[in-house]
Amino acid sequence: MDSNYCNTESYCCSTEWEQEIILYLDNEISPSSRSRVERHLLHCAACNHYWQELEEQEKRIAGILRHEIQADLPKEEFTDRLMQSLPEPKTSLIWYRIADWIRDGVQNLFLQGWRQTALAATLLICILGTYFTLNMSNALDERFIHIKHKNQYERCFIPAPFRVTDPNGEFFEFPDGSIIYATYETLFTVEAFQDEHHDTLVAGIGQDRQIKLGHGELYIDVRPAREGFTVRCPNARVRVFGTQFYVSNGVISKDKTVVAVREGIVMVEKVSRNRVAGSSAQLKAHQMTSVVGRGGRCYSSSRRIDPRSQSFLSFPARNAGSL
Amino acid sequence: MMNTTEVTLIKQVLSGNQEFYRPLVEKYQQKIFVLAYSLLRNSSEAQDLSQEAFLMAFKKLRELKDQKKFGSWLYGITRNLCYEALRKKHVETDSLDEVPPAKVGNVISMRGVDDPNEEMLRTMMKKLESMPEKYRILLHLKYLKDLTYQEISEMLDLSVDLVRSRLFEGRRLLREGVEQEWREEHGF
Repeated sequence: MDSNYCNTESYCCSTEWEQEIILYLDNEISPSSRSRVERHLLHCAACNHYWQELEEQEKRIAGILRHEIQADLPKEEFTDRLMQSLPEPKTSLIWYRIADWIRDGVQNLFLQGWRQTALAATLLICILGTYFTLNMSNALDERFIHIKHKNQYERCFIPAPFRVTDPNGEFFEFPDGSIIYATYETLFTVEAFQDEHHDTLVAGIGQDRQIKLGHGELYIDVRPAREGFTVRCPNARVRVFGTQFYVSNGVISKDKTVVAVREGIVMVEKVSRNRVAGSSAQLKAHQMTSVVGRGGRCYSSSRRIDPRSQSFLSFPARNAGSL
Repeated sequence: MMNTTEVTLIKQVLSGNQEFYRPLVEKYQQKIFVLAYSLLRNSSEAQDLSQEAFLMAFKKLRELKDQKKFGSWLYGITRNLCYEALRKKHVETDSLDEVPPAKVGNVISMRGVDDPNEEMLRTMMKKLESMPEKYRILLHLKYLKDLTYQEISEMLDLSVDLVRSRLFEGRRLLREGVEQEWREEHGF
């Protein structure tokens, strides 16, 4: 935009200058642009004429419009009338005042003492963070065990569920040396155990090593230890202290738990609604029992294993599955 | 009056001190009136509506979420009341098959019509009143109260850029309309 270039007979020498002049007239222009427009108006007769004419016209239009509303323009009486017509407060405002005090107090705390508040909050977060991190790391250490499975050690978090997918069955070797052979499609969960790195049981000192059998067959060779070894079935609980035994659930028939003992002594207890129901059987080597349903008793506390069922006691060879 | 002062006043009003509403009314009453007049084009109706807007704002003050934006909120209430009044008036006018009387140039008509400047001014006022609303309302606000673009944008809930461009376009339309009518009437 050349400030000296004006050769038209229209109102303004260009649309750009027209816009600038209107902004100048409306007092919406920056100081640098203002002096530029003023310089241009000194040199450009068309723009100068346009500006003066526009200013004059707008003054007159504004004057007319303002005169028209003058009589009704709100003044002091308007305010007085309005204030008199305001409705009275309907209810007690004490609660609103209390809420305001609390809100103001919180705001002041953050506005005036924000540095101290921020420092205190940071320290608190650091302390709590350290505490929870330490506890969490301890908790995590206690919440897993290493189980040898398929020729490699797996770091399993407790509770660790397993589902056997190998048709030949699978071996599991636990940190204490106990071995479990599970048949195809057996579903069980390691609920409490101890790792070789820890002296305490995962689920607490003094508790049994616990396996929960959901469905299928387990051949278990329990390594003797201070803690017992418990297999929980939906309707029975089997507890030992170092023995070889067989336990199955839902294999022969639904809700039927079968326990057969090869070595040692096994205690079988009837369980109903997660509580020992009173009926129990103590099995010695080459004895078996079964628990049927959820309301009955343990059958045959000392029944010897039928020779036809000797397979219960033949612990599978390691090459049957993969360890 | 800074917004912080407004917030303090609003808190006092909400606490039951109604007299603290007065400074708020005094600050906004003329702008609210001008806004209502620009939309309604009738000063007595604009005054009644301003009163109604302040009353409604007082009753609903507890619903105002951001107390720093009392002004924008009040303008919004005023606009809505104006649109409602216009809608009612439009329905009544349609049902009565009436055309609202033009009240343009009352002041000019009191003067002599022989003066070419007065005649030009009357033409301008007539053109201003017949302009599309989106330009006329902005020009009215500018002429009536000499408001800044920022204030107009807040009152009409428009961007400042849009206010700037519409004021420019409005003035150009007004000038071209007057020129055209002048040429038709005087044959040059």
